[in-house]
Amino acid sequence: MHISEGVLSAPVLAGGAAFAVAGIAVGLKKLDNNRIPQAGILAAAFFVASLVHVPIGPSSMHLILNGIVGLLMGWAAFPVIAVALVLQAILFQFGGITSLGVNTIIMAGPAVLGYYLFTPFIARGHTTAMAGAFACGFTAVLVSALIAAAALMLTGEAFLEVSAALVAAHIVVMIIEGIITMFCVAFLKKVQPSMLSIG
Amino acid sequence: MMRTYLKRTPLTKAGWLYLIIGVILMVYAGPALGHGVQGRITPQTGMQVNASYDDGEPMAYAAVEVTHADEKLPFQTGRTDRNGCFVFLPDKPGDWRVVVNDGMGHQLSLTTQLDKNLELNKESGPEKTYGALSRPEKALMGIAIIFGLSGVFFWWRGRAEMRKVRDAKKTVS
Repeated sequence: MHISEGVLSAPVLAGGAAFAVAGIAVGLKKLDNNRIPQAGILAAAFFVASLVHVPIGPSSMHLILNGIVGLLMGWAAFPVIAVALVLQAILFQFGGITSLGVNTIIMAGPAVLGYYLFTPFIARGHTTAMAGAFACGFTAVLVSALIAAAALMLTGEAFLEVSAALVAAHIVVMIIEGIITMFCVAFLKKVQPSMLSIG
Repeated sequence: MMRTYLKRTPLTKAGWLYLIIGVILMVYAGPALGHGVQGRITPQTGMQVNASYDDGEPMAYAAVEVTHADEKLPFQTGRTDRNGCFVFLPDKPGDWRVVVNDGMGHQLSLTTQLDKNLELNKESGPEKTYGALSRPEKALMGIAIIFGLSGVFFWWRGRAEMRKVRDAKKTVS
């Protein structure tokens, strides 16, 4: 899902960068001091998650974890994910420096969306919370694939074909991310519900 | 003999001239008006491109574009095979650029330099080397950088807080 260097046209890259900077600014403003260490730990987890490869048939996919990052951080998912993506681009050549803005939107946009859509479910009873958590992990990756396809469409690829290919390639990751998000929420609800912004 | 034959035929001299010109045109223009095709399959060595994702999975059926540094138009376009391989036969020395794009956001860009014998210039091989650190070492480095950054950010935010507290103390005293 990381878009490489040189794939997208300059206007798409510039637009992505502008939106990403705006998102990071909002995220940093909304980030409380006492949540900074949590942001650091989540950034580290997001950074390393892409190195965990899930074998799917003959190919493999890596974890993304933007659903759980969004659920825990809200708007602060933008700076968290941006820092992790910068390091992934520099150290592992995932994505590229010029496509950082677009990649941040692809990963952090759905994270924030998931925060707004699914936090109300997390506060409810066990079954609803678990369903909400699964849906959050699942939807975040799905929306990421759709945004990536939209970015590629603006540079000339056919939207339906690319989005279908991306969604098909990530369907197992979506389910795995849903399950991981579910376990994380179940654990945090018992141990430290304050981390889930539900008090 | 020829003269009597020419006299007997109904064609005039001009008619013969047209006929001869027509035959010449047909013989020479033939290849230009209708292309025949020919070809053969021979074992051949060329420049082989192997494109794969970082986990080793081949970039199968990805679009490839081969361009010489001095030319604007691509020398060759095509797709990798199911093993992520692509072979091209460069026809002149210099820098050659190969771009492999899977259409889903991943793009591999390689440059190679050929000498006048169209052989790989060893000094500028196509392999990119990304530092000497292994992947776990890089992961550790990344985590350390992230923790360092959050520490610096924490201190920076804390400094503003401390200033507020100090100012509050001053106004109290």
